[in-house]
Amino acid sequence: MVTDDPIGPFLEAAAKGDYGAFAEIYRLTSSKLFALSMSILRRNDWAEEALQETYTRIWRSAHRYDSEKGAGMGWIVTIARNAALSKLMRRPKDEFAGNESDMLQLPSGDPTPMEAAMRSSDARQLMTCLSELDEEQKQSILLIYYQGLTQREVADHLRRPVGTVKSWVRRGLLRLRDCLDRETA
Amino acid sequence: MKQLSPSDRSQLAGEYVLGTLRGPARVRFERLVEDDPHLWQEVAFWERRLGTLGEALPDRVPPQRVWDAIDAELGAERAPAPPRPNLWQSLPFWRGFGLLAAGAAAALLVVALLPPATPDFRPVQVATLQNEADGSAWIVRVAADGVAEIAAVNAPAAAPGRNYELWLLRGADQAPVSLGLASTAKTQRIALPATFADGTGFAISVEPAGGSPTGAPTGPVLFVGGLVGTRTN
Repeated sequence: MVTDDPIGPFLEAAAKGDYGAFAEIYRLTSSKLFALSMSILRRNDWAEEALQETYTRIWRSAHRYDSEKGAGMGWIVTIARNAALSKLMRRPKDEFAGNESDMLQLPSGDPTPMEAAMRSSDARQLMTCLSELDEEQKQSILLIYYQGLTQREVADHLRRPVGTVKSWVRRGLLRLRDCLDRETA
Repeated sequence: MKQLSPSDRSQLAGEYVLGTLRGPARVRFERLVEDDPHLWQEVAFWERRLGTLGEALPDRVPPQRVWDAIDAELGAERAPAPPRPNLWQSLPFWRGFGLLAAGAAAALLVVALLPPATPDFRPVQVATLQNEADGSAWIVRVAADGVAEIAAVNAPAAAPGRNYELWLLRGADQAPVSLGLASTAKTQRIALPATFADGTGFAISVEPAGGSPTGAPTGPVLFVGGLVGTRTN
C-alpha cells in the first residue's frame, strides 16, 4: 500500500538490530526532525535533547514499526513530535519562549517552504488539501502541529473563544480527510 | 465505542495525532485503539499524512554532538553483554521463572486449548507464559525467520489506562528487552530483534498506557514462560 517510503526498509533492518541502518535513518531524517523540534521548542538545547530522545526511542522501538500500517517517515515524525511535546509540557510556563512574530512563521501556503514539501506525493496531496481549508481552520491546525500549542493557546493567540478554535480544528480535520480521500482515489 | 461513526473515528484519530486530544480522553482513546483495528488504521492514516507536514520545514542540520550522544548511549547497549549487577538480579521477578517446571502440567492443558497458529506460520519454538494464580496464559510461537506470533489464552484485557507489555528474557544477569505492547484482542505478529539470539523466554508485565516509560518492566509481571523447541538458525 505504501509505495513512497524511503525510511521503512531501514526501520525494518534496525528492528533486527542493524545499527548501520539506524545510522542511515539518522543521516536521512535528522535535519527534518531537528527543524521540527526547533519549531516546537524554539531553544537549541531543548531541541537537541528532544532529538536525542527521539532517536533512542526509534532504535529501541523500531520493532513496533509496521510497514503495513503507514510510511516510516510518518512514524518517525510522530515520535519526534511526541518527544518535543513531552519536553514542552515539562518546562515551566514562564519559559514559554515564543513571541508573536515567531509564532507566525508557518510553512502554510507559501511557495518557498512548500518546495521542500514537494518531495513526496503524500506531502503534495496534504498541501493541496490544506489550501482548500478556511484560513482559520488551516492556521489553527498548523499552529498546533508546528508550535505544539494547545487549543487554548491558539485561542489566546488568535483572540477567539476556545470553543471556536475547537470547532475549526474538528471541521478542518474532517475536510482534510475528505479531500485526501478524493485525492487518493 | 460501537456507536462511533467513520467520521467520528477519523476526527478522534486526527485529534490524537495532532495532539489536541489530551488527558483522560487521550488515555481512553489509546485503550480503544488497542482493540480496534479500524481505529488503528485511522491513526496510521493521520500519522502518515500529518507526518508529511514535518517535511515542509526547511532542513536544519543538528550539531554533531547530538549524534555523538545518541551513539554513546546506544553503543553501551550494543556492547557485548557486560555484567549487570543491577536490580534485575535482586528482584523477585525471576522467581516466577523457577516455578515453570511446577507449572508444566498446567501448561500442557493450556496448549490443548490453543488457538491454531495462522496457516502460513510455521513455529519452531513455543513459549507458554502462564499466570500461576488463575491459569490464564499467553502463547508465543517463534518461526525460524525470527517472526513471532503472540496470542492470549483466557487472559483478561488490561485494566483501564493500562497495557500489557511483552518482554524478551535473556540470561538472569541481563535486562529484559521490550518487544512492544501485547493485545488480548487478536493474534499479533512481530519481528524479534537481534537480541533474540540469546533469549531464554518471555514475560508480560502490566504497564501504563503506551508501555513502560523506562524501557524496563515497571508494573507487576503476570505471565512468564520459557522457550521450548529447537532453533534452526
